[in-house]
Amino acid sequence: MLTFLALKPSNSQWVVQKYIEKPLLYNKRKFDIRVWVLITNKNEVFFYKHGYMRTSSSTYDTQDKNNYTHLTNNCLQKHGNNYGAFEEGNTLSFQVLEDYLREQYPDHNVDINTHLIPRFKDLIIDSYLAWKKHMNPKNRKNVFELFGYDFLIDEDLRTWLIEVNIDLFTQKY
Amino acid sequence: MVDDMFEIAVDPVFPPKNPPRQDGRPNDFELIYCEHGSAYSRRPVNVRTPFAKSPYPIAELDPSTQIINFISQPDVKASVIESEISSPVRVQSASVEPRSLNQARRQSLSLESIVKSLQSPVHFRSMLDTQFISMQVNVVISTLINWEHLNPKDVELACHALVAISATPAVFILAEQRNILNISKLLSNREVKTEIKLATVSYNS
Repeated sequence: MLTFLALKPSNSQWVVQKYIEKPLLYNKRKFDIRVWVLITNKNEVFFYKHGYMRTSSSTYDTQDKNNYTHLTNNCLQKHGNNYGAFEEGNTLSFQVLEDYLREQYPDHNVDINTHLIPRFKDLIIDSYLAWKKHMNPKNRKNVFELFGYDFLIDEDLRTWLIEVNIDLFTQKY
Repeated sequence: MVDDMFEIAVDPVFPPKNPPRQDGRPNDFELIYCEHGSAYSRRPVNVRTPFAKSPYPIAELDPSTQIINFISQPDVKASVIESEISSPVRVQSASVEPRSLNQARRQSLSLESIVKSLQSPVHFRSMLDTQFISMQVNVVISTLINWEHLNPKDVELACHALVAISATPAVFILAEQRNILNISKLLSNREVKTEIKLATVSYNS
């Protein structure tokens, strides 16, 4: 990491992020969760209810250096040999995730709407408040932006915010 | 999704000639935050859960609750707890240790094991590890505080452990207020043995 930073321009800013070594796995493969968030110039934050899972095509192994094992971005996975081998488009619905969680944690009656989504909303609000001052700096009216929030669930069902994307298929407005 | 998004972001500015949804289906975007009210809520909205709430949605999977279970272990008889609390050497007792902790973990709370573990590289793999190290630190500090009632070998081990802690990433646990207070008491007490003071000075330096 220090070698990487040494090669970057001085005074440039970087985010150091903890690697989650023990993610919750879906059939031994890593996955993350993508949800959509709409923010308007009126400082309204909207959460889209229908997120989805994005799965890796390879069996998870911390010793495996292959990006296809660790990164679930669609733009990466679609170039892999196993893309679509397990799930169409390497994506699955929340309902599939909930069924899987109930199977894996039979004693806890896991409900996505109760146990996971409230935490997604918490992290969305926290990140919005952290960045609010820098959004819409020219205070333009009638503008909005759609964000793609990526979350990871660990084996204790704790939610981690991985990244917030703006370069979606819809691009910026 | 795009229809729902445009209904919020575009339609108020450019009202559609033909409303996209007339089937009564609700908009699937949910307002989760607004500071001054909006067309979707007269009042400010903030659905964030209190910060005091655990980030672990299932209490049994929350590492911090394992410590709480340890304290409130219902299987331990009250009389045993009381006698152990009143005993100055309670940190050495095995009778109040939690049944939920496995055998290896119980053994690792002995002074010998603490010293041994601190002499090997310490890895903070999770919050649970941090809390376990905190428990180890508590054992060491408690031993030093009760030095008068313990055998010299245990005190010596606790001193070694404190020095070892100061050389690991776990040193930040010593900066907790209660630990600082306890260490200050040790340093200011003239009766405390020199070896103990040296160990605490090693930490402070």
